[in-house]
Amino acid sequence: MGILQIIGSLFLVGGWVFALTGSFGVLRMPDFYSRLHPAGKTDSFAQALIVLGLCLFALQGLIPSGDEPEHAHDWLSTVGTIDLVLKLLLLTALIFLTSPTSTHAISKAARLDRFTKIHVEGDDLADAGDSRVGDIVVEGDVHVPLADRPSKVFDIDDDKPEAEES
Amino acid sequence: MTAAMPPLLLGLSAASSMIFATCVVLLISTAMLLIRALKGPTEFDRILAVNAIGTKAVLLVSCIAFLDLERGTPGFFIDTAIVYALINFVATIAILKYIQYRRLG
Repeated sequence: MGILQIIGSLFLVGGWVFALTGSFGVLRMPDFYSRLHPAGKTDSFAQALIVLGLCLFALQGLIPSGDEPEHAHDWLSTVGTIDLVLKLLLLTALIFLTSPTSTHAISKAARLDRFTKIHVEGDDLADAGDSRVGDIVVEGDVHVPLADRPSKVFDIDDDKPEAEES
Repeated sequence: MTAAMPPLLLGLSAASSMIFATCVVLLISTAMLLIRALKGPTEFDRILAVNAIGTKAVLLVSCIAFLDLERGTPGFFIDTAIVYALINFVATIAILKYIQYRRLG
């Protein structure tokens, strides 16, 4: 392994730590709003570490080493490696843009949803399984309550035969 | 470039072993997220877990591209990973919009 691959391996190990701790946090956190934190953070940080490590792995091919023939480093492979690194940087830039946007959209959709009872840990004033977070109205929000659900497409429990007859 | 190193894991070179271990770690974290997606109390937990699983899948495709770096051409896999990242984002927004407004239009 060359020096760039060793540094890239350190980046990969950092990515391992963030990916595993983030997934464990999503699995073990008590309520939904605290699960947003490890998911959002590790989505944007673990992927950056792993993709930068892969960039360093690819850049190792540009450094000539002793145990390779001379014709292994022509200009075509150099252009291919630079193209590969640019694609990886485009990938990590795209995930850096889209991952926080997805997390923000999920949290806002959950806060505006009046039908799903989201349990909040430590919220003793609310009823069991109820959430008061959806009742908080911030400036710029949609003030009109959302309409009732027009159909029960996904409610399998309500699809009883006597309900269909009535 | 790693001919002098002894094979560490499954006959792979040292660099390929590192990337193979990264693939295994990504699969383990995907399994943990899949448990959350299966037992999530609300639908938003499931969406959150599936979104994170999509990001892990993008990373897994990128790592598979680098498993055979000495001989292979990883550019095709990176193109696949970029397209999958964009599709993952659009799918998450579409599902959230459907849940919030009960229509996609």
